[in-house]
Formats: sequence, structure tokens, C-alpha cells
Amino acid sequence: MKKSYKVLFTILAIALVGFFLFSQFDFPEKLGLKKGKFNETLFASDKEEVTNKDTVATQEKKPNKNEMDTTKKTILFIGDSMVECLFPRMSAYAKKNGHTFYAVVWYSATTEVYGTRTTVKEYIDKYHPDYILFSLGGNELFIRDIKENRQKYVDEIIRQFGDIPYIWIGPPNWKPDTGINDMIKSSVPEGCFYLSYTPDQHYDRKKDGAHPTAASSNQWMDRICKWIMTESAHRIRLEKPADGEKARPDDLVLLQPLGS
Amino acid sequence: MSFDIATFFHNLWNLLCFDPAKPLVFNSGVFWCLFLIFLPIYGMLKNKRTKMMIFVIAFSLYFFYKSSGGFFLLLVATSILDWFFALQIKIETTKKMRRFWLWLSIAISVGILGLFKYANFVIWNINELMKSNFQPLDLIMPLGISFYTFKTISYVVDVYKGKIEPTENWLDYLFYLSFFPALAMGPIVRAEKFLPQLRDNKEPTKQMIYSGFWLVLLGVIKKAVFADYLAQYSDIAFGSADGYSGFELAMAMMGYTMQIYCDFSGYSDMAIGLGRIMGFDLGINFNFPYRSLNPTEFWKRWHITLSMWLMDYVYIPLGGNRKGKLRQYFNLMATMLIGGLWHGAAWNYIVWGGVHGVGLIVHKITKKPLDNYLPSDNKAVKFFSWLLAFIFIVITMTIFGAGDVGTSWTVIRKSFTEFDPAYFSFFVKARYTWCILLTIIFALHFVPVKIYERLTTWFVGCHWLVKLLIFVVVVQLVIQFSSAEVKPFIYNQF
Repeated sequence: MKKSYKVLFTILAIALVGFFLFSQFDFPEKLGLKKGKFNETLFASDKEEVTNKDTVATQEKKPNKNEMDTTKKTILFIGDSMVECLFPRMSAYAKKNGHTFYAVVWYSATTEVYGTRTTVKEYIDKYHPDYILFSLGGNELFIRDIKENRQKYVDEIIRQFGDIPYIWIGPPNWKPDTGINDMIKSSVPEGCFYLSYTPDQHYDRKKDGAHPTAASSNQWMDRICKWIMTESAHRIRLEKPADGEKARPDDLVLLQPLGS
Repeated sequence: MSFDIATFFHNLWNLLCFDPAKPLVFNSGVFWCLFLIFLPIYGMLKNKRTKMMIFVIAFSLYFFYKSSGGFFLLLVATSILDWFFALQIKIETTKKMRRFWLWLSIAISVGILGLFKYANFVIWNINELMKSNFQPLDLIMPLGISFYTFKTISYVVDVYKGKIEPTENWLDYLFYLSFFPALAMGPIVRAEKFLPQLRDNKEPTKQMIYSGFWLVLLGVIKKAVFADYLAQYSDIAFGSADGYSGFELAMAMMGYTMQIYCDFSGYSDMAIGLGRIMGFDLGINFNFPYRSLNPTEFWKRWHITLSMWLMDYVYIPLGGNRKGKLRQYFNLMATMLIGGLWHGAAWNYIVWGGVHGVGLIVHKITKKPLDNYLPSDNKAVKFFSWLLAFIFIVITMTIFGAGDVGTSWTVIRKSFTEFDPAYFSFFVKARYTWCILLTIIFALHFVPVKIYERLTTWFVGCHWLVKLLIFVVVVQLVIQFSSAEVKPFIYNQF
């Protein structure tokens, strides 16, 4: 075999072994470095897909009798790229109902990304919200051993919310997940989780097949707001604005996958 | 995480099996793990031509199978038929029979392409026009069918014209048609360029191997860092055009223009680089297209192997510029419409081709009068030519990528009629990394070619540990920028 092939093979082999070993430790994440997904891809067991039956059933239950808080709120809407789909409509809701509204989008974010950093707390300290909307989970629909891998991160995120009322908006699945919705639902108090994947919710998708189209995103936000106002544990005034009503957040932060 | 051998093999099996949602793209970890196994075996077999060919064909067919399942047999069948037809063309003595085999071959190739790529488009249009309800066919489009169909047509036509001899054995032809670096998205390398290299089967030089490796690394960065990152905003803005201001949409248009260049030229770089590592020169496919001063120059720099193919097998056979001006304009328009339709079975691609046809015709009409009045070597003239050409390219790329004609019209209209620079600071503040990447890739377009050549020479000659370090940095960059899933290449759908 030609020497150059041997050298090239050596380079590729050393790199592969190096990245594999690198992925076995926790310290890279503390340095802000992402790891290759060797463990999730090769060693995690392949659970049966679940269909959130219990979670759907809970959402379908009649609501408790919480009173609506009609005061004007400072709302922080934070999460993954789904926030980018939702915040234009939510801005219109905030404008219509007199709320101050901040949006933070972290592309490609996961519970692991948020759960290993203090980003949520940092934006709470920055904007002082008295109401949090959190949308996360769309990048983890098909993670194997989800509870084993992600429960600790979900718990950490919830810890960072502190005493501030929050609603966790579940991902709008395009097919059954491996348990992310059930896991989040079981981790938060009743009425704090909006399940976006129920038989009566159908959202058209953009070309990527994952994110809802603009029209569907607006419908999705409309449903969430209606649910928050009438059925959630933390009901606030979210009267529906006119269709096509345009507004912007008071501040918008976009965090990139590389890190903030 | 506990290690379970059964789980490991189960997952490995799933990774390697047919999955249309997970083709074996060059920027995926699975491909590189497989290439790590492929490389030493290829290196050992390189001097044993037949064994090497069988091995590469097997790998290429697996590459095809991974995304298209049993359709890899279609590729094999196509290769058998067209190899046979080409031989018949060579053997036949009468022009009539030679022409018969030629048209039979073209009809079958175009027919198969038409079935997989355009049948549902035709059904959709019939339903729209006739208000009928024909059900679309449940078809998976085989990997790279548009590309290998063009390769096989050019091979048979070239044999018919006597430009090349048909291959002596079928394996040679299957090797050419299925060669995995160029299988999925080109370059559409011609048989006359490729087959002599296969016949000679020369050992690749150190220069070839490492310059190929360097190209692969550049391609990976273009695709996985720049294109995928820029796509995050462009996709969202195009998907919700009504919700964005004219300025934001103009930025999305710029972003998509750079994204598609990085995406497709990145893939081409990887394909050409892998070819070089294996000792094959696949030519070039992109030559700084956004430096173009007019639409004609653009098509000499963008997707070069496709535009050359369209020129040689559509434009010139139609008469080219040999039958008067009006006929030339018609030929240009017909060629570009076919080029548009080749890209995809949707109206936006046809409109895209048509607008490029108009651009080429307008350039042909105005070139002479303008050259008489404006000195073409004047810097201001050059700048305005470039600006005009670039705006034209950005608009046409928007038609190409915005999804449908209605959306692209909304995006373009709002960009011009609702453009408010007041959004600039808000936009840059919110999307500073995106803006930085856009600026970098734009600026890199204008770096002199010599600099790239010097960098390549330096990389080829540097110590292997430096190469390793660069490779590791590139892979880590890709991991850092990666989304949850590996994004498909834009041209993978064609």
C-alpha cells in the first residue's frame, strides 16, 4: 500500500479513536465543547416508541379552578428553534394584552444544552420575568434511554426557574417520540406542561419536515395561549389578537449552536 | 452507560441498513468510519485493477443502497442496458440502426428519470387543471438519478458521435456510472475524461492524495459549518415571509445565496477530493461563481459540469448560435428551461430556469452595444456589472430556494418595496454570528486564487501531525456547529 495511504489512514484512525475517547468523559462539556454521539448511537438501547397516552389523558382532563391573574406580566419566552416559530404570534399576544415580552432562541438546543449551563438563570437575572414560557424537546424526540440520559437536565432547568410561574411547551412531534413528552410532563407540576402532540393537533411543516409553517405556528401559539388562559396552572390574560396582527418582542436574543 | 454487546450490534446493524432518511452523506460520521475501512483495502487493491474495480463497485452500490434500498439494482440495470446499446451503436454499420439504438437508449434513460422524478408533478398539474383526483404514485427517488442519467446519456451520445470508444467490458462502465464520490450529486464527469483514467489506473501521487484530503476538509467546513448555519435563518424567514420585514427578507435572500453555494460547492469539493484521494481527477464544478460580471459568465463558473453538459447535449444539438439570432435566443431559453426542470419537478425550478434564460438573452442582446459605449476594463464599469449580476443571481436563487413561486414573489417583492435599513442594527445585534459567517464566506469569494493554491501546497507538504491537528479541529468545528440531525444536501433531492 502506498505510504500516503498509510499516513492518511493513520490520521483518520487516530482522530476516530481520539473522538471516541473524548466522548467518554464529561470535562469537554465543561469547557463548552460538544462531543460526538458515539454512546447514544452505538450503545444506547432502542426503546419502543411511546405515544404519550398518559400525558394526553392528563391534558384532556378538565382543568382545576385556578383563577386568572389579570395583571400585566413580564414574560420570558426561552427555548430552542421552536421559539423562533412561536414568538412572532406571542409578540402579538403580548402587545394586545399589555405584557412586556422577551424572547430567547437557542438553535439546536436540547435539555442537555440548557441543563448543563446556567443560561436560563442568566436571562431571568437579565429580564426579571414574572412569567416564563419554555419550549424545548424537539431535538430529543428520538433519544434512546431518554430518562437515563436527560432527566437530570430537565430537573436542573426546572430548578433554575425557581419560584417564577412557568409553562413548558412540549415539542410538536412529527412522529411518536421515545418518551421526552412523558418525562417532562412527569417532572413538572400539574398544569405546567402543554402537550403539543395530541391527535387533534395537526401542523403543516416547513421544508425541514420538523418546524411548523408560519400559519401553523400561529395556530399552535393560539392553542397554547388559549390553554394557558383557561386550563393551565398559571393562568394569565392572553386575549387573542387579530389574525395577522404584527408585533415584535421587546428584546430578542438568538443564541447559536456553538454557544452564546 | 452500560455496554451491552447485543445492543451494540443491533444499533450497528440499524446504522448500516437502508434508511432513506439517512443517506450516506460525506459529512456524516458513519461515512468516515466506513471510509476508514475502505481506504486501506482500496490502497492494497489499487494495483490489481479488476479486484479494485469490484471492490469499489461493491462499495458504491452499498452507498446507493443505504439511501435507496433495492433501487441500486436499477443502477445496475441501467448500466447493463446502456453498455449494451453503446456496443450495438459501435457494431452497427447502418446509420439508421445506430440512430435506433441511440434513441432507444435515450428514451429508456429519460423515461426512467421521468417516471421517478416527474410523474407526480404531471399528476399534480393534471389534477389542478382538470379538477381531477388522481392519486400520486408512491415512489422513492433513487439516489442521484438525475446525475447518473445525464452521465449515461452523454456516454451513449459520445459513442454515437465517435468521440469515444465504448468500454470493452461492462465492469468498466458500471465503475464509471456508480463511482461513489460522484454518484449522488455529481460532478457530472464525462466518460471521455474518466474512462482513460480508469484504463491507466495510475497510482495517485502524494500531491493528489493530500490535495484531495484538503479539498474534503474545505468542503466539510463549507457544508457543515457555513451552509447549515446560514440555513437556520434563511429557512425560517422563507417559511414565514409574511412575518418578516423587507430588510430581514433581503438578508435571508443573501443568506440563501451563500448557503446554496456553500452547500453544493462543499459537496462538490468533498466528491472531487475523495476522487483525488482514490487517484481520479473529476475536474472542477465551481469557480467562484459570485465573482461573475454577467449571467453568461455565471454559468461558466456555477455547476460547470451541468452547464457544459447542457451546452453540449441540448444547446448545440438545438442549433446553438449557428441558425441566427432569434433561433439562438430560443435555444438559450429552451436549454435553461430544461436545466430548470432537471433540478426539480416544481414550477419554481422552471421559472428559475426561465429567468436565467431571459438573463442570458438580455446579456447577449446588450453586450455589443454596451461594449461600444462602456470601456469593459474600467473599474467602475466592472463593479456595476458585478453588482447587477450579483443582484440578478440573488433574485434567481430566491426563486430556486424559497419553496414555491408565490413565496419567492412575496420575499422578492417585500425585499424591494418594504426595505427599511432601520432594521439593520436590530438584525445584526440579534444575529451577529450569522452575519459574521455571511461576511466571511462573501469575503473568501474574493480572495485571490493564488492564496488558495499556496495553502493547498502548504497542506500537502506539512507534517502528518499538523494534518491530524487540522482534521481534528475541522471535525470538532463540525460537531460544535451541528444541529440535532445531519442536514441533507440541497442537491441530494435532485
